[in-house]
Amino acid sequence: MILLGSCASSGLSGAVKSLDAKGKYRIAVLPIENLSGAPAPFKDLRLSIMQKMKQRGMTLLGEEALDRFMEKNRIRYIGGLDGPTADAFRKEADTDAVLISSLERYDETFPAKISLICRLVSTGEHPVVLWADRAGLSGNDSPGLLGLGIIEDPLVLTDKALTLLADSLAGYLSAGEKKGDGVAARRQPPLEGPYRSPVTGYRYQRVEVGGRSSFRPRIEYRSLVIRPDKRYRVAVLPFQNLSVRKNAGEIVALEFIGQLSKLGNVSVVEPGVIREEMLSKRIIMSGGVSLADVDLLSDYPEVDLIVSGTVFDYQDYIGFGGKPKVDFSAQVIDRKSKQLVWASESQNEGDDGVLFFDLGRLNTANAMASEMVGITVGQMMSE
Amino acid sequence: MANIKKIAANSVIAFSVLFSLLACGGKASTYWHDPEMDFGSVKTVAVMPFVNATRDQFAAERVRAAFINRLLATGGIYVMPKGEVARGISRAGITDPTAPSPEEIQKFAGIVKVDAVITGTVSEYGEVRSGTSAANVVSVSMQMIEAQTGRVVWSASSTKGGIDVSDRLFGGGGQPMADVTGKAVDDIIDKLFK
Repeated sequence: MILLGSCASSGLSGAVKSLDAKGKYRIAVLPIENLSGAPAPFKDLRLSIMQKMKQRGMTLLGEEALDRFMEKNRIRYIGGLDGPTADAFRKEADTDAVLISSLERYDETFPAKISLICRLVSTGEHPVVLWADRAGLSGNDSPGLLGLGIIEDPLVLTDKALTLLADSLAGYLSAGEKKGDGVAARRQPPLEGPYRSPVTGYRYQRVEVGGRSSFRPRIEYRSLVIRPDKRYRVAVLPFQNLSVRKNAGEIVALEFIGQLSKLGNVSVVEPGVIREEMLSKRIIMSGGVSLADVDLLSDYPEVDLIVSGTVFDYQDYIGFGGKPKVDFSAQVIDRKSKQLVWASESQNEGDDGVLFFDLGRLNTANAMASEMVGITVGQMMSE
Repeated sequence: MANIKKIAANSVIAFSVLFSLLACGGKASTYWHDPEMDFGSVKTVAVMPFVNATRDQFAAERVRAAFINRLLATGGIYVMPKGEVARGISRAGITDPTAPSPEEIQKFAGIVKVDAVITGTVSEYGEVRSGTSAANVVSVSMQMIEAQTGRVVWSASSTKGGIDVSDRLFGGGGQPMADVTGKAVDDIIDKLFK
């Protein structure tokens, strides 16, 4: 929330001004993918976020044009973007980027809860994740004195979540909009900063992913192969799901994509491309990623690291009582050395960050997963 | 004389109760090393799927993941990725990967290039209750099998958690499952490097 808050506070007026000055940045907003396993007002949510994007000066691909494009290219999968589709978006629909949204949870039962994960993907032959963020809110996140801060209306909560996401996206576009070769290029902060590696002498920019220390992995292994001063192209595979929660593997993978894409030295390959590669090469990873799979997947140019893992537990709760639980293990394989360069296990409950009076309590599994993954990624890529 | 007998009987009862309580604490552990084995030569291992003798469907997979991560974290031994182990099992045609034969291990090790294979059994994983007290308990045993010969060169077991004296006297629900699992796995790893 602190991260989202800081993104939101990056300034709406500034974002709009910057976009106006830079001209048009055409974005297609795909229908929302349902990872919640439950019904939700997807059309309303999509229209609402589109409206907020327009209010912040973003130019969107029209509904009719999008429908025509999806019909012509027979697009049925809306949870990702493969290479040919991304290229077609660029060439046929003159679109610079595509916004892909996944609804992780939508519950109107008091207190209402909503978790939405969005990412902006570049178009062109090799799509990459430009920006990713999520909003996981519960009506009782900030109850305040006598419960006056509780949000009872699900619409108000939804509006708050979508505003946070739209502000975060506007903040990204205003800070890092750049077009190269007609394709929206990834924002890459310069490799400068107050830090210098004592071993290599290289300067690098350290990114504070943030988070509470109590959400650190319980155990972690990091090979010296991972260097914070090096640029990486990372592929995140869907995690193996051993929990009772449907789609938990995809949700945790999306969290990794979101946190990794925040790092300046990491470029995340769009998961739709990985999915397409796996389907076309008939890769089935029932027991995890094998070294043969690494060979097959790394045909995609310049994939340096492959992130995978297992979700053991991903529990939300309904109503007021209870606490979410998230339990996963993550592994990273280096393509060149074909070795495990990172392994960790994280297991937490929603009140693990509480010191007193429920301050620091997290009420959604999505918010928890974000904290846990954020710290994991920070440990993985820090000095 | 009657008093002495009474005191003696009471003492026996008291000690019996005390020993019973301590026995329920569950801190048992054993291990064995092959004295002829050079463990320094073991640089890469494969951790096979564990036997799950518990009611929890994924207990063995959880303990296996914890063991792999913690063994890697020691920095002493490299552990093959789980997916590579699964590929090796498939290619070697091992019918029961939880209990491979020496021939199967030799074939498997040749495919995935490991020096040793670790197998294991999770015999307890979950909550135990006694009266009003409840606590989590984990009981695991593991074996290391040398790849070249197919011989068992190390074996260890550990039980952590359970209801101890303080739980009985003062209540409390024991430790979280992940903590108990971590302790059991750490105990096993300690015995590997002893």
